[in-house]
Amino acid sequence: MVLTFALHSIFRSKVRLIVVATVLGIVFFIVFLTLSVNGSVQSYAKEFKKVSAFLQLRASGSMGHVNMIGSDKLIPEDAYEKVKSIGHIVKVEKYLLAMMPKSQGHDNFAMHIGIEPGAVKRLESHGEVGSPRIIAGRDLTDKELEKGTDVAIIGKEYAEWLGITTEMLPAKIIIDPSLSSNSIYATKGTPREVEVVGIFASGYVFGDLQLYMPYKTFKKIYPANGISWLYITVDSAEYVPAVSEHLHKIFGKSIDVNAPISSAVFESATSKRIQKLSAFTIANAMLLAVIVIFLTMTLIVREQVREIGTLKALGATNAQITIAFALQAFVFVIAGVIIGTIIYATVGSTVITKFFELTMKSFLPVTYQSVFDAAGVKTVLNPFSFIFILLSAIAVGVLGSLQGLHAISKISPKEAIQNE
Amino acid sequence: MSESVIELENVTKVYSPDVHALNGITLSIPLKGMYAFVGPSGSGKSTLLHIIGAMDVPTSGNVVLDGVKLNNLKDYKLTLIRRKKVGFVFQDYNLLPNLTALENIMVPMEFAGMSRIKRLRNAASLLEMAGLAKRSTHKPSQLSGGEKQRIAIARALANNPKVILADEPTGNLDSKNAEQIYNLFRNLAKDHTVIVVTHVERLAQLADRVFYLKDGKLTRTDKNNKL
Repeated sequence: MVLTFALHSIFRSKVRLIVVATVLGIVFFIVFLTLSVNGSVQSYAKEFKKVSAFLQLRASGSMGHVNMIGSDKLIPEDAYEKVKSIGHIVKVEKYLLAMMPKSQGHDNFAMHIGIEPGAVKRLESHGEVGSPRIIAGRDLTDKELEKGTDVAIIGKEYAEWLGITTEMLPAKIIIDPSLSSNSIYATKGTPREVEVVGIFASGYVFGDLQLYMPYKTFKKIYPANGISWLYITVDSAEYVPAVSEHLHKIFGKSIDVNAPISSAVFESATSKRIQKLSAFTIANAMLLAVIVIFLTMTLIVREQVREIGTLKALGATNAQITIAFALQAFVFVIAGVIIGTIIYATVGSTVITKFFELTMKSFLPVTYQSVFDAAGVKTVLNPFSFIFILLSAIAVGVLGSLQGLHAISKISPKEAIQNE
Repeated sequence: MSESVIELENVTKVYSPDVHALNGITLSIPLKGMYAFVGPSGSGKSTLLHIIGAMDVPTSGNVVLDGVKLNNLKDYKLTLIRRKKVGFVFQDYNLLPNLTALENIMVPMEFAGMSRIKRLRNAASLLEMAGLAKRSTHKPSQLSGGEKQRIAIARALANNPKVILADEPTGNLDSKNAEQIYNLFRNLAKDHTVIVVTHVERLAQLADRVFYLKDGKLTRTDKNNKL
């Protein structure tokens, strides 16, 4: 009967029930979203850990450009074989780089890069980032890269500088290693004619001022006793620190090991921040829910002082009345959970996907974006999340109604008469 | 004289140094019969009702209800006393608005831990006694003032208490309905002690004894021989 009284009391003000349940529903929807964001980020971080991670090796303190004044130190040629023998390393790519002055006496320059078959076309100044795409002509073939054919592909800015249009492809150019500028010195290499077979676009200006040619062709043009860069692919981000340490053991201080934006960085920086942000958001959402229940229960108790006094006059103990009113608080929070679940089930996935598209994904390197898509959004409509939400709802109900329930214990049965 | 069910000895109630609601009240009320407390506003009759009904405790003096001394009892014990020994009838009925007539009568029985079947049987019987058997499923908003008060009286009898305390029970009723309530109380007085706080002379005349209060003191006790 008391429970019937409690349930009827909830429906006494339907508008209040709807408003409170909706506000709590939005709060629990935010909790669901936050759990989902956190779950997705953890999932992404886990995926990124599995993804190969990269390390870049250069001679200590050097840019590794074969003709750059003061920064032309190279990695020893035998480093390539040494690195390949280290555990967890799945791929080693070697690069040679030279600067090409655009005009005598100035620092404007383009970049010439020699690559081997299977090497990623990494753009200077952009780490492993950037994705040059052929927009005219064709790419270099593995056969050409293997043989060291006199072919090249150039960025669209480079093509514009040389006056090469798409209609002119393939076009012959001469690479002259004896050209110099303020920061570039003339080498004793041999000028060589190469055929430009394709033009690429990279997405940034200096990237489009670069030229790729076979590694062997590069060596025919520029005198290079060593390697500009070694790019090392480690089978899992987890082993990056260990591999890095191993490299330092082998080469001592003669090399610099750079780990550009990596999954390890993502994991430690983004993932942990999101975890903290999630905890903060959930705590605040719960606090809001507690405040809503607190205000609602305080109002209900105030409205029903006379009924409470009457119940006490009729022989109800504080515990019996408290249970009846606590039940009202729980009906509010459970209604909120149901509404939050319905909202989440309806629009949650869309909201989360949009959130990641607009935030984290857009800031990720291109190479990681596919991983992001593959990992997908993690929905949290599972038993563990429900248990978490239900326990949270119970906690909200208890904390929010404590003051109201305390007030009930202080109401005298005399209120049944005095409140007339 | 029959055995006393209520005994007050030199009872005082002081709310503040300036407010002495009761000043040395001593009285004895026998089991069964109808008794009235009469007095102007502020005379202390409501405070006396609170103390007799175990809703409040005196500042000094002794209160014994059905053999139980109420002085210094904790809230929980007072609750049990109210539940078992006292039935309340209020001027504004104080029915729970969301419950039906039958459910309202069952409420005190639930507090007493009675089984649902027994609650239903007893409540139906009390509704019959109040002459409202056909109104069992009606909610208070669907009942007239007189019907509400009869439901409230039936509720007061739910746990078969020895004492029924009624605070201005006909204050909101017209004369016809008030007369029905008077008759109901007179009938109840055959088996229970009915104590009424009232301004209504007609109701006071129906009482076996009338206690007159003024400024927290018992000024006169009239024994009514008409009945």
